[in-house]
Amino acid sequence: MDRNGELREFVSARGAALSRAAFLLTGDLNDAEDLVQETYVVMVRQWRRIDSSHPEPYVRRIMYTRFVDGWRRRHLVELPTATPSDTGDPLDESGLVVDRLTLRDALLCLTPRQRAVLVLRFFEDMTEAQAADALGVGTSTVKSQTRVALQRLRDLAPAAVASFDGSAEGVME
Amino acid sequence: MMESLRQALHEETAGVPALGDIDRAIHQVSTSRRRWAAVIGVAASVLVLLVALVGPGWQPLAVEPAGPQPVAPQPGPTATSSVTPDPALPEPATAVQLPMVDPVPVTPRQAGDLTYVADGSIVRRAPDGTATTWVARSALDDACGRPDCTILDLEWSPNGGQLSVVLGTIRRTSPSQLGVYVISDDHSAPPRKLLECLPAMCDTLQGLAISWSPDSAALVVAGERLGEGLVVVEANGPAAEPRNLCDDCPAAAPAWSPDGRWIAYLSGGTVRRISAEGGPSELVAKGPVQSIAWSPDGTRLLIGAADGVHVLDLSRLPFSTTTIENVSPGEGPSAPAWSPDGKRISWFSTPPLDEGFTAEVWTASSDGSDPQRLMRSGCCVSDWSAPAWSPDGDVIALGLGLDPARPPDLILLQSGDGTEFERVAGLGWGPMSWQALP
Repeated sequence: MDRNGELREFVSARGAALSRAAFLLTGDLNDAEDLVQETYVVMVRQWRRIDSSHPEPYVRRIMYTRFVDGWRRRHLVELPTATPSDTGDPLDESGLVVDRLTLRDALLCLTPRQRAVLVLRFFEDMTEAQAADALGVGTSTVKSQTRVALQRLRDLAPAAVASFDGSAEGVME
Repeated sequence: MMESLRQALHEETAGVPALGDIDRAIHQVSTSRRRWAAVIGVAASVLVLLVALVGPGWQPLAVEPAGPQPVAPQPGPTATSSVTPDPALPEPATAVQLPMVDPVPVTPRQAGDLTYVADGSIVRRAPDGTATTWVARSALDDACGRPDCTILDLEWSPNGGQLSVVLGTIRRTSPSQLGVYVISDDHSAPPRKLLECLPAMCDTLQGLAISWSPDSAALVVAGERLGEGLVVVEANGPAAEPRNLCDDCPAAAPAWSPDGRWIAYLSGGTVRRISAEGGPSELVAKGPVQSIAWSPDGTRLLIGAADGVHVLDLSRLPFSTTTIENVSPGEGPSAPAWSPDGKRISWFSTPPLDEGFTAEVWTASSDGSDPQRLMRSGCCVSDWSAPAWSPDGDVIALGLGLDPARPPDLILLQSGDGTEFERVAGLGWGPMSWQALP
């Protein structure tokens, strides 16, 4: 298979997953599309250097580092778009929908690196070492950022976290 | 909680479609490579012809290609400085036979107005502290031709006679619409467009980076990040066609040398330089490099990299490098800059805290000695703009925001001891530039 065929095959297989991760990172479909497209351009340029039998870790690293670095390079602020709301009874069926919205708002209140760590660990199901590799940081950074990010989630969206725990006093891991 | 969080995150993305267009990315990259291959082909033909004419004693310029290298983050929560003579990064390109550079006399300048953006208009703050709207947003919209244009960069010409402005609209999924404009100091005419962004330069989400020639006669323009092409445009007189120095080379962050002969730029994380008249480019330093700035006398390059700030002395071969490490553990320094007299350097860093980032402004002698932290903000910095020295060297201005719900403040620091003597609240994010006066 030629290079373009390999690229298309990879995107066909993994593009949707990358898009979902990009959406969690950016919190916005347009921004997610920008991030994925930028990642594809870099991926095409670098494809010869990528292990085509197992390209995903490299491509994922491109995307996550671009996302985290973008905060500093562009000097653009990532404003939280909403204040976490009081969702009322977490067991209420309609309240669960609000809880999910609140989780997204809370994610947007984290720093890019904290958000990236959570997405890598709990959406991509990566180990600390894999997450560290994807971000180009040490495992200790992943550990500390995970801890802080989870605590911030609890502070920012207690109702949402309570709905995950099944208890407002759930233990933070 | 972890399993539930995992489930909630997956539910959050359940309706997200596949994003991005791989065919568009392939087309963009292959178009760029075809153009570049054509240029190399012509250059190779010329070289073969030259060798045939001159004879076997002549050797072509050896340029060592350098790819990006992984950078290990520097651990440690506090910034300390040290000088090491043999840095790992960036590595001077010893294979390149660069000519010597001659020092340029550094002329003392007076500080004119500090120019910045507020509410979409260009504001000038006079040395006495009075601020007035200089070019209203409506005038900029008229020049741009669209109501949604934003100012992405400002830079005064070295003689203080014209302000260059990068103005336009960043598009998400189509080429951005950006232009380079100039406004004369007396604002006697509307902003004048010098250059419309070339498609490859502004494919998507690209800003434009600009740098004035030292004689204030021209500007060099490149894409801000993934842009391709390096273009020189005359700033005075009737509109002239832009001159391509390398029309499809990946180039970003151009910096015109003070002697006017060279343009340094970033390409794939390396530092390269090309004659201001065009021709082959040369590798100056391997990377990964994030930013560059010429010393006022043109003999040194200040390089910001993930592992610290490097001062590369180009005045003799082999180059010597001074490295100031651990300036911003784990994050790398930003916006390294020279004081106007070339004796000190400054940089901005954002050391991580548990809950976010703080902001610091540092200065040091150009040999790395006498590091001083001028400012350390509280937590957590949400937005900032690059610190800028006043032309007389007395003041450093920067934008800084700690509250995501409020626009950043404009902060003026004494460069000697970091005393904050003025703060303008709620400035908003934007570029700023000092006007230099003879």
